[in-house]
Amino acid sequence: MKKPLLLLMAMASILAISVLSGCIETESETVVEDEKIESMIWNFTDPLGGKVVLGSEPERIVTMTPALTEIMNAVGAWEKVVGCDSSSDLPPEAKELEHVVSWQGLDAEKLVLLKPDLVIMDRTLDITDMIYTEIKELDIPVYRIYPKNISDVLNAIRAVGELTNETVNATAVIDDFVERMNAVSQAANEIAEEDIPSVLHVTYYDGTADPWIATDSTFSGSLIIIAGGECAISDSSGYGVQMSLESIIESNPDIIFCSQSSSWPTLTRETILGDARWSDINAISSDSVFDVAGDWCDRTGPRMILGLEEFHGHIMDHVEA
Amino acid sequence: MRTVGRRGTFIFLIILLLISILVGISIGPENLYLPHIVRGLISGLPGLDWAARGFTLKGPLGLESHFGPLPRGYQTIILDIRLPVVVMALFVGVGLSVSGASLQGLFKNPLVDPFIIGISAGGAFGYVLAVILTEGASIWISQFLKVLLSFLFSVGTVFMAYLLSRTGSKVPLTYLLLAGVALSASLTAATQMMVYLSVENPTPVIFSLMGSCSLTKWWEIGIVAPVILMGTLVLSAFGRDLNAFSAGEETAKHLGVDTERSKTTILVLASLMAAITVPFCGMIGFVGLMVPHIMRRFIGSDQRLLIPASALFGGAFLIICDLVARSLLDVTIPLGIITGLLGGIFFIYLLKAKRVGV
Repeated sequence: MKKPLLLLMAMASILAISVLSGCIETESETVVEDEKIESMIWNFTDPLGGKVVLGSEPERIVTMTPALTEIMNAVGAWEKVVGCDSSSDLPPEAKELEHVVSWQGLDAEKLVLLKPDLVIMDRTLDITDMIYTEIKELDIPVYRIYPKNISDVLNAIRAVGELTNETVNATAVIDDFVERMNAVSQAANEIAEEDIPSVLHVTYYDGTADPWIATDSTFSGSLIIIAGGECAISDSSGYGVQMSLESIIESNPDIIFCSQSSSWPTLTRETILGDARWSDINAISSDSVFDVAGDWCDRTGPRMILGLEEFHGHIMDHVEA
Repeated sequence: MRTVGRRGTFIFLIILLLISILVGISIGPENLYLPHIVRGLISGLPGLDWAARGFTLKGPLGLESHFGPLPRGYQTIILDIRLPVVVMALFVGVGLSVSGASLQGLFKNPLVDPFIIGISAGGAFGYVLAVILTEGASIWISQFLKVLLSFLFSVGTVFMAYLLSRTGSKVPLTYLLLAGVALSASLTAATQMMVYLSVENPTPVIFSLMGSCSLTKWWEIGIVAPVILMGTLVLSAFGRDLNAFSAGEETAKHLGVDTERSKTTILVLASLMAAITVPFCGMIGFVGLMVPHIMRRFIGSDQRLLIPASALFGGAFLIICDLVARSLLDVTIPLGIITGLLGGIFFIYLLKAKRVGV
């Protein structure tokens, strides 16, 4: 009688131990699983294929271009920005932050002292990858964008929303942008083909050297086309180019935009109107030379929609005149 | 025979200059034909504006030829864009070459260029200083200050080099050269520091310093041309004194030259002629070195002939360099880069072709 009882007790204890240990094991597996999911959420692959391993939600972020600083602000993640580039000026508080990069290059020491969890940068301004490599060597996670068109800009806004856990705000910004862009595009489509004006966007001219022009392959060029115009100067480089005044006289644009930028020496329409060498151009005789906000059309951020609407307003005024 | 050779050289140089002026006006993004150029040029003369509009020429026997108006923009392109550039390149070429020829004669050193004694470094310093001082100011104030400061600093640097090298009542030429080189080095460093620290976007500033005649305005020629014309005439008259200098300062004195006075006059004029080009065209190096050298091969080292020959050839040379700068690629290459490239190659050629007597 004793033997079966002992056996029963032994079996019961083995069962109990195994159940208990099973319980414990299940619990620890759940913790590990959660951490895995958490770190999976905070791991990203940027548009250039770079793996960005964060491990947890980033709280200290450094932005490397004015547009990225503006995007951070637009998606409601401004309080996470601890440093930015020297040209960032929106929101105005950006001017008071530590500036870790300027055209002179990266201040690596300043960047390290800021202890960022994440740096967001734009490859357009780091075409040689020098700054990117420098930051990677400091073991700081870097997320890079490389916008080439307006849909890339919207994707960048979405990405910043995900990186900062502000996807709802980011979606709202994008929806508003798309809705307004569609409205412009619809109105632009109604312009008769023969009325489509040729538009020249001058980004810098001081009368002593040939003007700098934003061509059709730049962001400003895309905005001009969506707004209902066509670009007077074509070029595939994607950058502003210096174009001889003679070529501009030959291309004879109907509208000229002169942009004022906050981080670039600037011109006003008076520079062009006061220069007799431009006088044979249609835009001058029809008084269609306008000052436009440079930051709205060359910063790849949410304010591009303002640039598009400004361009569209001038183009429609010209078409209706 | 020799005189005929020299006369022939001068005739050749004049023809070369005329051809380069015509070619300079005709070639550009849109190539212009001679009849268009002639009509464009005529239309710029007072009361002859009809040449650009359509007109009919009546010949004998009722022959008529009708000319349509010049294509849109051609009049502006010829009179206000290409002609000023060609005329400016002409004067700058003349100025730098005559200045170079005189300084080489004065220093008895064939490697002297007006820019070596600090003119370009001073000009660049003044230019960048004006850019920083007028940031945010109107474009006209900024232009005015750029011209004023770069000219003042160009001349100021040479004057400073002169003061630094003066020992008693004499100015040994070797000291002057060394002082110019030293001042140039310091000013160049100071300019680079200003660009690095204070200029928000350095691209246009750096480009302006590379030297260019593009988009010259007529009023700019109105300032540059009189200085260079006067300088060329006066320095040509100093040909005899410069010839005396080539035998050494002491010999020149024995030959009856008031050496200190001649030295000062030649130095001031040569510096002024090079300095006046800097605010408008930036740094166009090596022209003052190359042109007199090439001319010496053809005309000999008699300064009375070398200075006018350098003037003619210098004008044609810079017009052609500017044409190359404008038409080699889609974008206009700064003129200073073209003359710098040619100058460097020329320098190496001089070193290799013969021992340079210093």
